[in-house]
Amino acid sequence: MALERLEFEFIGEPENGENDWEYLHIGHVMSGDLEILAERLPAQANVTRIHVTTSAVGFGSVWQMVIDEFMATHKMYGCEIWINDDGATPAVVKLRLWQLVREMSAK
Amino acid sequence: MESMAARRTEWTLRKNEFQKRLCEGRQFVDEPGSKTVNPADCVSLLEAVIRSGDRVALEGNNQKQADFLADCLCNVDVERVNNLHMVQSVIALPSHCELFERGIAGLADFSYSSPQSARVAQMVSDGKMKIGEIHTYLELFGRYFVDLTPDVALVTAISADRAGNLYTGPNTEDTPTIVEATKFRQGIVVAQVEKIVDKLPRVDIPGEWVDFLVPVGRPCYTEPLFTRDPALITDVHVLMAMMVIKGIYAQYGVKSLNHGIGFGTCAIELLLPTFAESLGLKGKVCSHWTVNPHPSLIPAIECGFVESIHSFGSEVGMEDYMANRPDVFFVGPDGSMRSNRAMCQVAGHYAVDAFVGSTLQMDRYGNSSTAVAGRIAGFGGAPNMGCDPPGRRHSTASWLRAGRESTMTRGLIGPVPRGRKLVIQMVETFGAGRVPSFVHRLDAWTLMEEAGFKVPPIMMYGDAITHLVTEEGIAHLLRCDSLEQRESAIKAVAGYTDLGREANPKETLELRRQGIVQTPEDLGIDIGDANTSHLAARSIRDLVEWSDGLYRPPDRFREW
Amino acid sequence: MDDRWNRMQDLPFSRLNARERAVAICNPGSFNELLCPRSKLTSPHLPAMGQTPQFDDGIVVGLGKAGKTPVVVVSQESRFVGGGVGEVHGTKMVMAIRLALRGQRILESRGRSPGDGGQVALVISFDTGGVRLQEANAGLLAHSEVMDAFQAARGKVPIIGVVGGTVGCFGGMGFVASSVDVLIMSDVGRLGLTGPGVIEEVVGTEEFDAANRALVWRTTGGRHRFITRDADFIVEDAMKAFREKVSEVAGWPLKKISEKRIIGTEEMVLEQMRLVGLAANDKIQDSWDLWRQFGNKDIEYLWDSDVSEFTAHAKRWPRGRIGERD
Repeated sequence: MALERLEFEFIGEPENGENDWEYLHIGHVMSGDLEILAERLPAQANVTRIHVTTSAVGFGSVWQMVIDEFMATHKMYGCEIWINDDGATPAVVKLRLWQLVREMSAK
Repeated sequence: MESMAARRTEWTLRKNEFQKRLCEGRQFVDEPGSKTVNPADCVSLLEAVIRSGDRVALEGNNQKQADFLADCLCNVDVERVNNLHMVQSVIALPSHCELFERGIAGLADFSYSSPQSARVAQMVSDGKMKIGEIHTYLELFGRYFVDLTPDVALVTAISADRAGNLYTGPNTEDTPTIVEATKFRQGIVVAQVEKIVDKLPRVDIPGEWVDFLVPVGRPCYTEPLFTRDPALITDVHVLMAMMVIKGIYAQYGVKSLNHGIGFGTCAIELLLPTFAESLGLKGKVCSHWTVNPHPSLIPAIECGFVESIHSFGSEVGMEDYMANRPDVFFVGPDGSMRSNRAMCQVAGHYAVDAFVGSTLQMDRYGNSSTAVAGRIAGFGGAPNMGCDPPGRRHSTASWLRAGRESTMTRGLIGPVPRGRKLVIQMVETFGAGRVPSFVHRLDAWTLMEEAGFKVPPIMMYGDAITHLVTEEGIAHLLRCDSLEQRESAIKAVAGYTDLGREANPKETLELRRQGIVQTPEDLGIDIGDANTSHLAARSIRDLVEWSDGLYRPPDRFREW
Repeated sequence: MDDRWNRMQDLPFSRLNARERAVAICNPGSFNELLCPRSKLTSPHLPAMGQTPQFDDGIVVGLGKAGKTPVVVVSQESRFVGGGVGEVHGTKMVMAIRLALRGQRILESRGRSPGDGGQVALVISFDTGGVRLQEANAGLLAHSEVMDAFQAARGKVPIIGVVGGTVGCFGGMGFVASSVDVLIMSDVGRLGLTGPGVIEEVVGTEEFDAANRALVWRTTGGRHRFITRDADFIVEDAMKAFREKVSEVAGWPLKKISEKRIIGTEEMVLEQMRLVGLAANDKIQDSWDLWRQFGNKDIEYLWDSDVSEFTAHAKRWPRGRIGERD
């Protein structure tokens, strides 16, 4: 039993929001749930790297689709996102990602 | 004209048989003329009044259980009493299975067996239990009055007086139905009670209908089946509940309804005083209920959302609360609530705007099932709640609107206006252990093959479902004009399951444009804002506080 | 930020997570986390077993102010591996205690007096089942290091324990929580050594049914611990109630705080043994028998009343030899 690590990279223009955050952290690693840590890259960066560590092995293609949908919706370029997952369903992953975005706009 | 057939001359065979058994049973009463039998003599009593091959209704409900009588029946001499045909709504207790293991019973007609589902499947495959049919509650009750009338009923009540009158209290459930069917066809009725008292709070079953009383000295076992700890509601449940309230209840003006016992519906109940209130829905939705007294309804009741609740059974710990809210619950002159499964099933079938439930599996056609291979769980009452009753004739705003939107009905009855009950399924695309809820082939097919059923045990057929709600959105299936379009709408909200991945993005966009599919975004719901902080109560303790201490949760739920 | 702090004060303590508790137990805006998730100091052992680590290893440590007192705060997160103590988790806890002691020395060297913010206090919010099974050796070692650090802090830095989370405080951490100077619990909080599930497994369901939560709570919960004086204070399950009590106690003179300790001298040990002797009596079948033994009559009332009524009416263990110290 090993953990699976997945890496995703997206390149695009960061949206000009008045995002005043440096880093954000939400969630807990528990069965069926995950934590997300988002760190902002220097202002000009147009790359976003997403690092997933998960105990549920073999769901790479589902992660790809959920994260693609997330990036297509929110265009979160210019950050580094770390996810520690303990077998969350796509529904939970999506919800937490959207909660992260809401947290950003709250800051 | 002279008839060719010989004339029947015997008209009291059942009555004679009853008298014979009554006499034999009476040797065990505590004094001449009494109906009371010492618990220690109960096994002998059962041996005296039950004959091999009898149809026996052993009261097994969702909540209360005639557990003492069940244990006694397990201990009868199998040489004397065997091959019984059990006709009971729920196979709930280990002793219900023991009857078959020991050869006392051989055949079962029932409705629900979820608590013993694995054991029932095993007994069927070992040839120890034969299943007649698996019914819905109303169906089985119906057959009690046609071809499955019990010869003997073994029921349970809280207390009795010496004349045999029974007080069943809030958990009346199936008792009146079982006793009426049995007694009026000259059957024997035995009741276990906690104690015999001089004066009952009220009479739920007339004493004339009861032949023997067994005062057990303790309450019968009662399962708090409808208590959901709000702490276990997830953010995903909240998201789906918000969609149901805003996208369905508010749109159709759903006033009367039945809820299943899942956490999704529990979330809806706890969002009424907060989210629904903020949408201005108080008085407009969810005023009349046919449900068990869910503790999670307390905040909505306290906030004035709820006008009335009629119940199938009671719920442990809710007794005092209900007694103090007689405007809302069905409370007798004695001050305590009375439930009745048959009545409430009828109400939930015919008289409500909507049913909301959840399921384990759904196929591409919208057929849903909770069947799992290796487990026989039965149906209970859900199929009668979760369907549009063809016999309904009265109208409500929600019923009319749903009828207008039911595109496919026109293909069958032409342009005649007709209403429709809303049947809403809340399904997370993946269940526990990331098992997909949307499948190409329901496990019900496998179970059918294993258990030798004639049809797969479908809980709700696709044609009954008007709305499918997943975390991805709502599919307004009633608005679809073909089976093909229904499939596309189901796929559109089936998320990242294999079935969901078959969805054509272009087609999904078109379905959204037509209002057949609505995402949270389409409904103006921010996914990132869906979280449990919106719930009016987030723990059992919060519910106790809402009730001013009138709700007394069972010990297993008290975490303070 | 203060908005968030205000909202948290009105919530049940048990509902907040470890980070929220740490932030909200301090004065608004005063908490600064050390080794926050961003430092990504995770367990080296969990991944080897296919278990996902968490960036803070289930514990939040940092500095803040409670009332007028500078505090070092330790807060355990029970959502992650049940609050179990592993290597990183334990090290963060030990280093936080040492940091408090070091801070105290620095303040003293600068001539600050306790009345003028010169007394550093240590606040530990326990929410744990004890040793993390996946890294038991490191976890056990951490427990002994914590006890050792407690010894070093004795008479220098007051230690205030708080138990009010959903898991409570069990296993080795039950010993640790019993070794603090002042212990504050809510009626949601539980304190014990062997967890209810393990007890059931050993003695059988007939003897102890762990699914009967009411039984579990009346045996290990805050109300019982208050009556047996394992807990010094019982407060409502409200963030605000915990913060106010912590601020109040943290402002007491060191001597007064230290006197609240229930172990640490031979005399105290003998006193505890006397309580054990009482509880082991044949007549004591249930915690409520013990309550009755101490002169409590209307048990149902005590059990169902709110915390303020409970505190006003509960008769506690009459501590004989070392006397009442309320």
